[in-house]
Amino acid sequence: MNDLAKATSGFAFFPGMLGMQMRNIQACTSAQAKMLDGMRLLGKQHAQFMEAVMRRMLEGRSASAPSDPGSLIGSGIDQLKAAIMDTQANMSEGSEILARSAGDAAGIMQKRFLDALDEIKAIAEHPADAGRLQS
Amino acid sequence: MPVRRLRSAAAGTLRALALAALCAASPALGAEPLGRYPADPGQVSVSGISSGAFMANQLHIAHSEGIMGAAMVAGGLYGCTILEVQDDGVVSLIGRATGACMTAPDLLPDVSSLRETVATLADKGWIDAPRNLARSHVYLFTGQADQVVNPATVARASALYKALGVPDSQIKFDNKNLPAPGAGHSWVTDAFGIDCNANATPYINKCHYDVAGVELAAIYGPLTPPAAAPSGRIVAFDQREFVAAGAAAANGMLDTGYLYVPKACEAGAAQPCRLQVVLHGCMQSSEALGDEFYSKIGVNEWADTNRIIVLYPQAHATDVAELRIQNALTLFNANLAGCWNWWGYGNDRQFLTKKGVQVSALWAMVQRVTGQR
Repeated sequence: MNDLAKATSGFAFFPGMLGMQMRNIQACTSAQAKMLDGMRLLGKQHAQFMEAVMRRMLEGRSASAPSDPGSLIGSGIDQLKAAIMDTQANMSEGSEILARSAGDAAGIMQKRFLDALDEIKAIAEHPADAGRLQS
Repeated sequence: MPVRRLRSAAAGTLRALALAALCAASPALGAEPLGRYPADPGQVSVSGISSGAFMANQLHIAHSEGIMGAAMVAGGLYGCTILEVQDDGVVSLIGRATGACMTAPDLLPDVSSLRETVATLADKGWIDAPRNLARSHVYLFTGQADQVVNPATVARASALYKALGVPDSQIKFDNKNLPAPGAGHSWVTDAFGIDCNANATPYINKCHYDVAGVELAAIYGPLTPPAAAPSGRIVAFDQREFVAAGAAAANGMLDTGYLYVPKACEAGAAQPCRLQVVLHGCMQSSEALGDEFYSKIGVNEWADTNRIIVLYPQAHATDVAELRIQNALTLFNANLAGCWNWWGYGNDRQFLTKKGVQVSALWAMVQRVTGQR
């Protein structure tokens, strides 16, 4: 209790806490920027996927359909298989983009959290030096 | 005094034994530095299968000024995995590698956007000017029974070379329908390997078609028939000096690579030899197949009679624990199947440019063999 009183006397800790809070906000901003960049990349990826789907549809429409029933069924099955593979590839790309941006953001936040713990420890141990932690 | 001497002798023996055990456990300690040979820097080519084909393609396009030809077997489409080029590298997706680039050809990027990517990378100075490619000779092979890398991807790679200025007469796109139902995903040989239409390890298939001779002839022109058996020597060399801080394993490379030197290409040869870099595919390095890939795919036989030194760099299956950076994205950066880096594992955002860890290591090896380094 005495130690705490010493640490808080004269608000010596205040500049250090303020600097720490600033760094917390900066970390949140960086993490948010990573997430937003991930969303932008996801949008770009989705646009590329839609473009490819449209291209395939147009190519499919221009190609002449097989005349005999056997070939017609065969070509339908091939198209279905291709659509399944495309969808799976699209989902896998999308989830990878999200996982990467979330991982980046989590990495930034975790690093900041660990740094902040060290800073609190330093402020508690040396309140008079707290101002130096701002830099 | 005698007791102290005895203790000292015992300690010395233990140290010697420990050193011997360490040497036995680490083959790289036995591998010598890569040497210089009488090889003509103007006659350097690269070939590869599967991930090795993608890497051959990357090495060729990144260093088009110094590489005069490339052969891609069952793979290879430059920049296929890239979503975006940024200021410090590229955003590349493993999901795109396994999806669009291998199994969902409808989603392959079109040739014009790939050509734009190449131009952007060249503008940044990360790869050589694409105009150098016009003098290249290019060979591409895909089997009709390939279920790992869709033949459409290889066809797109051929179209990209054309779009980048390689004349039609210098591109050989070989999708020959080998004895029905065609070749599986493999380096195709005349008489070594598993069934021709198989898509399984060791990915070396016996198809009565010698792709080694075909690709070398496509690049170097008419060749002398191959030797019945190679009479040169295979040299193990240390790959670590070519990777920053010697961190080969963390960057998907083995400590030891191999070089095949025909007798006619030893030091003091009357005339300079050619050099071809041959890149194995995933699960084909020496840690997976022993000496099978670098001694049995048919290249050394042709090399013997046509004065070609053959460099066989080796990739390494990098486990999560071997990565230098451990974070939430670690799983995306591992290389569990021992592939060459064509999607940016190991946190390498420059993997397909001259600044890429593996591309620069391979290029440094080429420079060493040709005496430029």
